[in-house]
Amino acid sequence: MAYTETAYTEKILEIKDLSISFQTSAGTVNAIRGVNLDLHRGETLAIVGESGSGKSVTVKSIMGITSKNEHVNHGEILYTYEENGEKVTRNLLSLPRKQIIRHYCGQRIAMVFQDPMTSLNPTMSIGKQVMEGIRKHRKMNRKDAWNEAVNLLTQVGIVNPEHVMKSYAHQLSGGMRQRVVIAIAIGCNPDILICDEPTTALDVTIQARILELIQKLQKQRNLSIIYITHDLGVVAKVANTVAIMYAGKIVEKGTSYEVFYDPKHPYTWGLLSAIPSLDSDGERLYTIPGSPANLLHEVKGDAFAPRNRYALNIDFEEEPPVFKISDTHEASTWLLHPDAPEVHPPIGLQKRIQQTLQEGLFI
Amino acid sequence: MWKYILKRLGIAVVTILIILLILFVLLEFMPGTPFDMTEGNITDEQIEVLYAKYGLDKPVLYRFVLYVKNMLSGDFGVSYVIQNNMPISQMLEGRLTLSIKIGAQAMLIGTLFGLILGIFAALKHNTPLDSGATLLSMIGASVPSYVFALGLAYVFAFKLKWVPLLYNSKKEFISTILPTIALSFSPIASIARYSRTEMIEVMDSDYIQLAESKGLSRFVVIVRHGLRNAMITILTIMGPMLVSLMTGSTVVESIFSVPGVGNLFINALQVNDYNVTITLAFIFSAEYILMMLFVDVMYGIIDPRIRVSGGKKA
Ligand SMILES: Nc1ncnc2c1ncn2[C@@H]1O[C@H](COP(=O)(O)OP(=O)(O)OP(=O)(O)O)[C@@H](O)[C@H]1O
Ligand SMILES: [Mg+2]
Repeated sequence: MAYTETAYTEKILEIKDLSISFQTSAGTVNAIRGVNLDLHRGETLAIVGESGSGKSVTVKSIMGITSKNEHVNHGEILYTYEENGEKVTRNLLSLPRKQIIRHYCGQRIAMVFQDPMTSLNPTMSIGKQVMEGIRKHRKMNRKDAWNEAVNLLTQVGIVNPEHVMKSYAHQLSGGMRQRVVIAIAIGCNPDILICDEPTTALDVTIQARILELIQKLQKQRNLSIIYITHDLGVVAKVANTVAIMYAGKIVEKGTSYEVFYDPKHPYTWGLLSAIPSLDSDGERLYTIPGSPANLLHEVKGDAFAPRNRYALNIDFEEEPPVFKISDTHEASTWLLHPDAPEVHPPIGLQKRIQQTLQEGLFI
Repeated sequence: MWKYILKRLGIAVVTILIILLILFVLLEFMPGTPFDMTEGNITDEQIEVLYAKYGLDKPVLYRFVLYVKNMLSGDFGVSYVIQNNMPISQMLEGRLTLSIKIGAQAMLIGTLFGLILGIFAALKHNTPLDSGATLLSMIGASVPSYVFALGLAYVFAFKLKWVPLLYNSKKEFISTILPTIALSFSPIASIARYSRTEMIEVMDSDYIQLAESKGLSRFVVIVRHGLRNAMITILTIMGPMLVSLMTGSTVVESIFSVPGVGNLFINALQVNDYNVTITLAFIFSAEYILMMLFVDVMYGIIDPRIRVSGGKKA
């Protein structure tokens, strides 16, 4: 389903040139270095990248969840929504934190976190935690909130909601807990659902169920989803649009089709080559050589250059601009410059793309 | 939950019995008889009557059971030195309530201000405010309470004359203010230190982020989600805190001449009134055990993992 080309035209969230740094004892970490991203209504945007590339920091800044030592250097996060029948656009970064918490968090934008084992409060009953948001934002009394919470738990596929309401986090399995967290997230009918690696901590069969659940809820509620993951296999299943992130920048983005079948950035090639395929019997799995860029230092040129075997001299000198490949597809690598030598993706990857294009499935 | 409380209660009872056994053995091995001091004042027949009355002619086990029964019913025997033949229970009357009152006030103030200071420091983590709060609690923890007592006495009683220097039974509440404050420094310090560390850790956890992402107010996030979880660890120091309060109270009560049990304890030690000493040792232990029982019950209330597993941490 991910490859059906529905046009998503109504822009709901626009991240513009976001730059965030952290003050640490070792110095300033430039974690986010000019991120541009768009999210449209009803769309699922996947953000993919190695650990530490800045995925979580980016999405948390949308919700105003920031650390003490965090500093937004510049950028805008424009959120467009309907208020009293009128369309308004607000720059979330310019609003006071209090206002974001009061009017946006939970109600318009909600988040599901990576580890369901730790994202529920261990000392508060599940029921209280589900009811908390609805009581506050939807001004319900205890009884209505209770019924609504039971209703929500049912919607996320929990079979004995009344019982779960009275339970505590440690009494539930990981999959159940993540369902509870999802119930909390959709409790106030948000426009945008941010899922930060919601299935990474779960085992494979549960992963698939949670993915199905998120997709079902998206259809029912016309949610716009930002989905963070390391797992390109998951991306292929859920995403309409994919953004590849490396060292605090989006290095390539496009529709899933474009990114999977016509990848342009060498880092994307590396990520795709690293997906284990079903028939790769005994073949050594490809890994990208080297380790992620150290963002404590000022990055010169393309941050990926030291690990990039296709790197040009200019990659070490100057930061590559964004090259447009289509209306929806762009990448920032000097290889796309008209004067660059012609470089093709690794043979193994090309073969694989050919093969899967014939079979119709990437993995 | 009830199973858990009953279990804790059982443990408390057994601990009290063991303590009584230790005290009983100590008494058994004490040289001489209780009537040595009264030599010449009473006849041998009188001694025999007294022996029978206190069961001193009976087997050890019988005497132990009698001892437990007496101690638990508040019949602690008599003092021999401080006030000859004065029943200890009578000596304790008033003293015990006064000491408990001062101790409870100090504990209350200590917990309240300690928590405020600790939470404040945790939220302002790594700022000058945090360092200031940390410094304050370090001073509170390292300076013994009698130093504070002397300082407070000098400033507020001697110089400013806001409160009486020595305990005055006619102005009971006012008289307890300085001892209470002097005693509360150490609990403030230890609670502040623990709650700071614990709150920093708790506020960094995923469920706090989830609570924030729900759009709850800062206060609700800190208290309902943060503090409640931090309390689990903070509670563990309530026991040791009570012990430091009890030792602190002996000196502080002496300084302000508070007629409390701490004062009496020092007195009994000085004049070797071992019956009083042992009774007070029993009372201090019992207080500690009750405190631990309270802490355990609180654990059960706060932490569902303890409640349902009946004490074993899940
Ligand atoms: N509070 C902080 N102080 C200092 N550095 C931080 C802080 N939070 C994040 N960073 C840095 O920002 C960078 C991006 O972190 P982020 O959590 O967004 O990574 P991520 O892409 O979500 O990784 P993962 O896949 O492991 O979740 C990392 O290099 C990290 O070290
Ligand atoms: Mg992350």
